[in-house]
Amino acid sequence: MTTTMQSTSAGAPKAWPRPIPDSSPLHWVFRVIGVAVIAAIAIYIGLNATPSTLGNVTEACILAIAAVALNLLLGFNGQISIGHSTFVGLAAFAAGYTVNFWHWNAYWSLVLGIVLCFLLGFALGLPALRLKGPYLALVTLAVAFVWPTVAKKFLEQKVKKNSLKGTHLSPPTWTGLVSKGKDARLDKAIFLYWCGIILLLVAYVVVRNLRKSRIGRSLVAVRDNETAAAVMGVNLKFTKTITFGISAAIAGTAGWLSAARLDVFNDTSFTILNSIKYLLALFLGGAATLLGPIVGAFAYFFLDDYLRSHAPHWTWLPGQLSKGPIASFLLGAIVIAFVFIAPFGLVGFVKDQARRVFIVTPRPLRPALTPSALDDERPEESKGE
Amino acid sequence: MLEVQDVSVRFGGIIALDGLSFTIDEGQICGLIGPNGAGKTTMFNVISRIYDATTGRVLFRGTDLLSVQAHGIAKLGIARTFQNLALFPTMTLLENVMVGGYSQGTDGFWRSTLRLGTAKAERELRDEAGDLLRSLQLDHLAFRPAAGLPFGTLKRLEIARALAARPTFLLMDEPASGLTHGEVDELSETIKRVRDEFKLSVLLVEHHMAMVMGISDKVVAMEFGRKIAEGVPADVRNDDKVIAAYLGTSA
Repeated sequence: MTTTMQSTSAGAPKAWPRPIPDSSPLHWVFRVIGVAVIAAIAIYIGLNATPSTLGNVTEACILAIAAVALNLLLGFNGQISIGHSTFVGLAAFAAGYTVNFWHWNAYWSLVLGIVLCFLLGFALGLPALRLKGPYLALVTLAVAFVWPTVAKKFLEQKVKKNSLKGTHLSPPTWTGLVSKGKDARLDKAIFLYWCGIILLLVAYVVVRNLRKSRIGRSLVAVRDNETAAAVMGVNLKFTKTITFGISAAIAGTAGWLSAARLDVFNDTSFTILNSIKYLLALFLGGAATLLGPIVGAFAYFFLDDYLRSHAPHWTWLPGQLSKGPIASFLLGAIVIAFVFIAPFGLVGFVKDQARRVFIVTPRPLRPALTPSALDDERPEESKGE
Repeated sequence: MLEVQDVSVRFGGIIALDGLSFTIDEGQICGLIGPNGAGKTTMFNVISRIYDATTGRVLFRGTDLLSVQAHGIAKLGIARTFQNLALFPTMTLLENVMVGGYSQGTDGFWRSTLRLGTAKAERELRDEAGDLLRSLQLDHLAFRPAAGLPFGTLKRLEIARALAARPTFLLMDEPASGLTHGEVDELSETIKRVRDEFKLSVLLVEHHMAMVMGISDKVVAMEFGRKIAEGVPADVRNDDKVIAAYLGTSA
């Protein structure tokens, strides 16, 4: 400690922001605290919340899973999709139909949903090879528009009704959530809540692992400069179509969860408005960050929820605005204002603020292999002991 | 090592390359010169498989490159730099070089998703990328994003990234463009040094005549998609056609 003070005595050492070496004990302490706080909140909600709160959090998890899926595709790989509501809808319909009509186990319907969505996503990735930006947005937009028509035809011809029942996923006995009567609703809500948390966690881990790997670097490389990525050996066709497939498959798990939660759903349940919500949640939280879509989804969901029940009803406003609470108007205004305040999303904003206090410094590069360095075998660096 | 045989490229009615042939031997630095629009970069893009040749063959150690896809080139040991920088601006310099080593890795989607046995390869790639950055005096910028750094720095980064693929043949498209006098001299030294250190053959497209003549073992001069001279720098410099192409003929 004294030596560093002396060596920098010419200019007073800057106390803040404080550097924290990557993977140092202090860094691990921060990480463990972060995970513990989030886990504690999740467990607290799981143990104490009412069925309606649990249902809301589950709904937010569904939104978050879809946003995480979109983040992999749009945030990291640079391929825009306004068609993700279709994948959510496809998996929901697959689950609802196979469980109610073929009497499938609900968990097999999850596998089916994932496979179907992967295949459809992969197929959609093929035209995406030739299209970029607004053109790709248009193609996926068309898919989102076509889905309700397809779903309606399906309902008419196969279900012979105008809606499909949910999967009524009931908690397995080992969970202990098997009360009868009045508590059954709470037990089911608790179970679906944990399903949502677990699926969201899995989606997050999949995207995080991908991002921090060789494949993840190639995804970002393709986003940043396709030609250069190809010259480095990245197979553009393979990478882009598989990424589309994986993103769609993750979105499918959100659809399966929707089917488990909803009593009934129909062709209007998964429209382009859902896709827009996923996009909003993603950009509100911060695209191309790992936590952004999750933070954004929860922020969006609960802001929307709060405004719906608390927004004022101003009768002096002109025209349509005077006819009811101004919830959606306020939500829009807040989102627009937010884009100016934090263009890189909530996560980007918090990161910028945190950087004034702490900076995580990356692990240093391997020292140069000079003959002298090889000769004297230096002991492990001991810091500040 | 590299044999370009009678390669022609047409874009619609425009003939960008017209029956071009030349060879490069192991360990050579070959300069490709010619006035603007002569087809140098087109030749480059044919070798790195960004363009298809209309006719002709390109043999690299016996492999016909024209039957290889763009992403297969790196695995054969061919790397390139770009005339107008084609870096990954949001990535740090270290990550840029690590992407350069993509062709050396094997972790696919499954293993990356599950993170099974990927740690060792990642660590080694990171270490090697760090060594390359140091070798090109970029290590102090390793954790800075590439966006916004000076042009000369990014040109060196392109070289570091190309070397990460452990190439045996390096294509450099106008590495000296936009550099100052001092930087050009430094670059010449760098190119010779990496050629010796990494045992490379180099194909160099360059307008900076002093540099090309100074470091090339062999020079190929082009005009309007055709070869007009090939040989050691001194001969090419004094070739009548080359002088005419650059200075114009007197009436």
